[in-house]
Amino acid sequence: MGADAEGRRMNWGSLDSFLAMGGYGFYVWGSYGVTALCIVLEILSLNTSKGNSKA
Amino acid sequence: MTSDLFRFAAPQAFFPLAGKLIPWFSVLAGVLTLAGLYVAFFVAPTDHQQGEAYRIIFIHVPAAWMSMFLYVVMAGWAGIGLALNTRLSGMMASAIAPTGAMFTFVALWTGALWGRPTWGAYWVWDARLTSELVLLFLYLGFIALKSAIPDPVRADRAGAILALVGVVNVPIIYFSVQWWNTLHQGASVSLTRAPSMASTMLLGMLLMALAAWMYSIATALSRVRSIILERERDAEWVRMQRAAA
Repeated sequence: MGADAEGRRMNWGSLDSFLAMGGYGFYVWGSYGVTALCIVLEILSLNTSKGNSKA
Repeated sequence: MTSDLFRFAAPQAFFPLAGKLIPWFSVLAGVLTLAGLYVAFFVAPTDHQQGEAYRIIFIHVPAAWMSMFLYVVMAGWAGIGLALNTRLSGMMASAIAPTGAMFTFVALWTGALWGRPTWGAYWVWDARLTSELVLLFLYLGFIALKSAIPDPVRADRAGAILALVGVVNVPIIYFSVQWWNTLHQGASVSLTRAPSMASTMLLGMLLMALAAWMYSIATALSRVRSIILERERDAEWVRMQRAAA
């Protein structure tokens, strides 16, 4: 979090290193993945209930 | 001005307004999420203590903020409904609850996945974590209580009382890190101090928080439209709406 890191752009080098997240891939992608799943499920459930109320 | 505001307190007037607003908030949510994710993964630097694990913050903190904020808004609507007997208020409270519960679950889930690499445990019975878990139960209890009472007027009243009593939990969550010795760290962002993080990290977090706001508004408006149609299904305007759809 130091000032030296300020403004420097993150450069992952390769897709593998991006997915690995410095060894924390399971935790980082587990967080983002489940959150995305929750959002998708909520949006799907909203569209279903809309359909039901019209029928 | 005031008459305009109150006009939209009628479900019949609010229904089309909500319908017009949903696409705008949805687009804003999408754009802000993309911008937030870009900053979160490609602009914000690696943390010198936590490495890349800290990138969970970009979901965890906005989700935790929304979980508390949405509860207060939900209880506020429920309270207005209880005091003024306005039909739309109870519907708004019901519309917010599932999104609030979703953000509470996300805050707990991402917290567990962040706690494991940084504290060595997915879960501890720490004041912050426990009070956030109570918040999830309050949301689920509110939803379950309302759906268990068939008469919507009585369901709104019972739900409102539960929601209002539960508000006491929100300051407990917020101040838990000051009141007790918690494993959970204190606030990184507060109104009174300069934030204790790099400005690009803060930017990513704020973009994601704004995205969560827009998303919550869009989902609550969408859900309230379904609830209005359901509750007012015998009203003339709903019949006409259905015939037109």
